Amino acid sequence: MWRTLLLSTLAVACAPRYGSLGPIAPEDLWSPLPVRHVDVGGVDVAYVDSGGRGEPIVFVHGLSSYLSFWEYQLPHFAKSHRVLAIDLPGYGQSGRPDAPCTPPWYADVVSDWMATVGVPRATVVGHSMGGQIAVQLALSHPDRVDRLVLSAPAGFERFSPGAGRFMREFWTESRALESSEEQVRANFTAMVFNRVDDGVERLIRERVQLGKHPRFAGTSVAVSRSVAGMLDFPILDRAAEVRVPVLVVYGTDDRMIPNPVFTGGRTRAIAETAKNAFPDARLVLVPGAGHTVHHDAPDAFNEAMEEFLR
Amino acid sequence: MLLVAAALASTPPEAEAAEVRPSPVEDDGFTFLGVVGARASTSNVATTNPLLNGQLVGELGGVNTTVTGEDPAPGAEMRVGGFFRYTPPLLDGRAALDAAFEVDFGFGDTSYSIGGNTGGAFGGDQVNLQTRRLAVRLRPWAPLTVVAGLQFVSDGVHDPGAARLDDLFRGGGRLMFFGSEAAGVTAFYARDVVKARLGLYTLYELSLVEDDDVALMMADVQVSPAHAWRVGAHGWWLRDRAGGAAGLLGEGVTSTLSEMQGGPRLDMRPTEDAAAPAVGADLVWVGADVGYNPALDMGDLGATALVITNQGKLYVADLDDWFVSGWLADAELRWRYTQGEGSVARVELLASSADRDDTFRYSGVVTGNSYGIVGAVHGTHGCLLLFPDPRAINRQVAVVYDVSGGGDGLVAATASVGWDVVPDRLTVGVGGGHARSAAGEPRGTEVNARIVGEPFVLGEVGLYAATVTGTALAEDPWTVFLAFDWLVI
Repeated sequence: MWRTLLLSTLAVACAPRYGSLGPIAPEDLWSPLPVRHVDVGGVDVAYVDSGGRGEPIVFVHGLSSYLSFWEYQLPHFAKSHRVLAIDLPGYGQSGRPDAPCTPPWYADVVSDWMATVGVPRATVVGHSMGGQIAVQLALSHPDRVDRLVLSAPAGFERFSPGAGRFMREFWTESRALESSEEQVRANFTAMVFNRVDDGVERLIRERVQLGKHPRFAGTSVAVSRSVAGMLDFPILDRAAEVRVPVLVVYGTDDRMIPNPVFTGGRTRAIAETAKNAFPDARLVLVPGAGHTVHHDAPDAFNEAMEEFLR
Repeated sequence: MLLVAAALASTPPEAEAAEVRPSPVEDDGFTFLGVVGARASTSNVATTNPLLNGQLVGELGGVNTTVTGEDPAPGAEMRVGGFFRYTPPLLDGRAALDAAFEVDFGFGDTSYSIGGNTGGAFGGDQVNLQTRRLAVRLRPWAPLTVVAGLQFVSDGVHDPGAARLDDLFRGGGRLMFFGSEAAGVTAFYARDVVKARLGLYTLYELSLVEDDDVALMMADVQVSPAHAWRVGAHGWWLRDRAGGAAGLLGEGVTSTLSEMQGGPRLDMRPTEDAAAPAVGADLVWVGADVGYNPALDMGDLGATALVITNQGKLYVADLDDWFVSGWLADAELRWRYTQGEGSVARVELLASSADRDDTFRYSGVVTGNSYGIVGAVHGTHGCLLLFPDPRAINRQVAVVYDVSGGGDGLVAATASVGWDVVPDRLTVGVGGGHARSAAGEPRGTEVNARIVGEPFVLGEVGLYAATVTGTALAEDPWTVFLAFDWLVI
């Protein structure tokens, strides 16, 4: 713990500033594998595909992120599986359509994209909002999903109507455009990640630079609609309908789930709620890891996933 | 297959022009923030002056007539504050009107006695209505905000109308020197890594045609040399030409007001039976502060430190001038050690210089407490009685009320640790502190405990207890209170 605290403190204290850097276009975002594009129902969808003959694994990122959030999983599992990761429309290198951006809509997009790239069925791994989308995919398109791996999934927390209204009103379609570099860094280092490394630093730089690009306006819209969509389509009450094995992984020190303002409580409680909601699920809690548990503790996450896939 | 892959890889991104753009937000320009606080307390602190039953501030056992006794004195009080801002859409965000009001009332024997309604009974209308803000905010240029009117005056660069509490309490002078409302004009500048503040405030305005007023001018700058780091420099000038005659209790370092609020009270009479002379002043504070992650929003470790010196001259009517030269240093370290905003351990050290009783020289610290009720709020110590509780409603008394230590200087250490039994919903904590004068005379040692729950969003109910031992008071003070605090948004 002391080592993590010291390293994280040093990482923040010594971090460079990116305010003077120019904008970066979505197509210039770093990716652990070459990025491809495909048209899915009129929407440009960016993705990576390692190819190969192994069992396919599909990775779905969370809110306001993109496929490189899986940097510690894609190369690792590409050794034994065919791995694919999508940039959800509105994020990463995908297009920014005028779309609902709700979990059901994204689940349809993921399903159509899988069909388009020749992956009829796969293990689907989702992080946070991506976890909620992955569960929705298993509900809407059960033929697409072999197994589910949920990294700190959203959708298992109940919000009061007032809290939901507050969040909707707060996350206006231009809110993400208003974030300063300091706010982005604070969000990444104190909420999204518990362990700051070079990968997180790269993500912060890209987010700051991407925020200056005109196409980030579409991402800001997607964030707003995604937040509303997550509130409108919770999956807690429908998880019992999922008929595939599920692995649920949370960090015990998640700073986003449960929501510290509106819900409070221990992540363990939400994690157990999620695990118990599925007919066939196992739970792995990673001590000290935060909301992006697969990045904060990649070895523990990958090991848990490998064991689940055996 | 290769052709298909190549075709997929070469699909161009969607044309930028066809992409979605944010919809404009309907905004009526009106924002509101409410603050509610209520306390039911029992303590052995009481006042001997019935006029002060309702509103009681200052140093315990001092001229505010507070005493400690053997019998507990129960009481209940409540405060409701409303902060309003209207930003007319017509002006595209370039101007706004701020207004804030506060209504306090006490029940039973703690009610305001003025008005002949002591006891309150069924008529719980013992109110104290205060105007906390009434100011115009202008934004002629994006990095610049000009606030004119009655406003909160802090001792740092942050705009109180937009800052977080940690910015105010853990930046600049940490409100230890100035933290109250005043009428004046402030210009706040914020761009990239630089923040600055220029302020001019009238603390007392006596005769309109004479140079007999008290004014405060403040200049501050803060640079963020690296992420999470802040370095600030501060210069403030207080020009006092009122001769100690302003206000009901006078003002300045020779005043009853200063003594009541734990500041210095210098006796400048040439002989014991002579009348107190009029004393004017030019006081200058110069200081620097540094902070790393003070709000704990970029990691789990935060630290702040400051050094401020006050220099100046006191003009004593018909007598020689006095020189002022004092200093204060403070440092705080905080660590959030696990999940939950309340799971934080902190320690703070503070030292200030003492008056050495030199002729024509005061070598202690001067704060805003010598110039207004309440003029400064040291608020991060975590104590409830040894130092003033910043969340007190009408009864803010403390063994050491001002960081000058009454002119005797101060050497103090405070520490606290909290643990979120249920993260962000239920916190238990213990804390305490020890203070001595700069010469080593003990002022007191506090131990306190708290259990605080959040039954609904931004609403807290807490049970607090504290006692201070080793004081010079008749009985060592203690308090137990149940508090309800609600941030209404």
